Amino acid sequence: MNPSDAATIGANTTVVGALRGDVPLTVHGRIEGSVQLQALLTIEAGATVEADVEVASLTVHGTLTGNVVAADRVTLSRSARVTGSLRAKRLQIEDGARFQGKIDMDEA
Amino acid sequence: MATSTFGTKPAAAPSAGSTLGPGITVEGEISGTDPLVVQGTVKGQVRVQNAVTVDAGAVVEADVEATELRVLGALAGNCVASERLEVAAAGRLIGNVRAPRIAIAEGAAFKGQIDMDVP
Repeated sequence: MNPSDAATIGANTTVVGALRGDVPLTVHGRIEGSVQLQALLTIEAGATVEADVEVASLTVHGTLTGNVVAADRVTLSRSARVTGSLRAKRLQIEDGARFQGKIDMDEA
Repeated sequence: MATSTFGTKPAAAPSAGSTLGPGITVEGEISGTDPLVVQGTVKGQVRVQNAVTVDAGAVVEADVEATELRVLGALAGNCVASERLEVAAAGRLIGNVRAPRIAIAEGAAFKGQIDMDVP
C-alpha cells in the first residue's frame, strides 16, 4: 500500500455519515455527510462528495457540493465541479474548473 | 509519478477497493461493492458486497454484511457473511454471526450466537 494513500474510498463505495481523521484520504467513490480531516483530501475524477468539508488542504478533480474550510490550500483542477462556499488561505482554480458559490480568503 | 505516453495524464488506476487507515473514523454507513479494509474506527453500519477486513488495531462498532469477513481487530456488532467468516488469533468479536463457513483461530475472543444454517 502506498503510505501516502493511508485511506481510500473505492469507486464503488459509498460512505454516508461523518468521516474524521488525520491521514490523507483519496476518494474515488461517494461521500455524503461531513468530512473533517487534518490532512490532504483528494476528490478524484468520477468521485462525488456531498458534504461539508473541513480539511488541512483539498484537491478536487471530481464533483463536490458543500461548504469547504481549508486551513491551508484548495486546488480545483480543470475537471473539478464545485458548488458551495470555499474558505482557504490559498486557492488555485485551474482553467476549465467549474465553480459556483462564494470564496473567502480572509484570514479571520 | 508514473510515466505516461503522449503527455496524457495516466488513467486513474482501477479501483483497488477502500481502505480506512488507522487515523480515520467513520460514523455512519459504508456500502458498496469494493473490498473494504478497516484499520481505523467505524461506528454505524457496513454493507459491502465484497470482502471486509477488520484489520489489527481497528475498532468497528457496527452491524456488518459482507461476502467474506475477516476479523483481526475488534468488532462489536451483528455480522452476516454470505460466504465465510474468520476470526484471527488477535481478533475480538462480540455479536451474533451468520455465515455458512466459520473459522475461529485459537486465541481469538468471541461472544455471541452463531448461525451456520444459511440457506
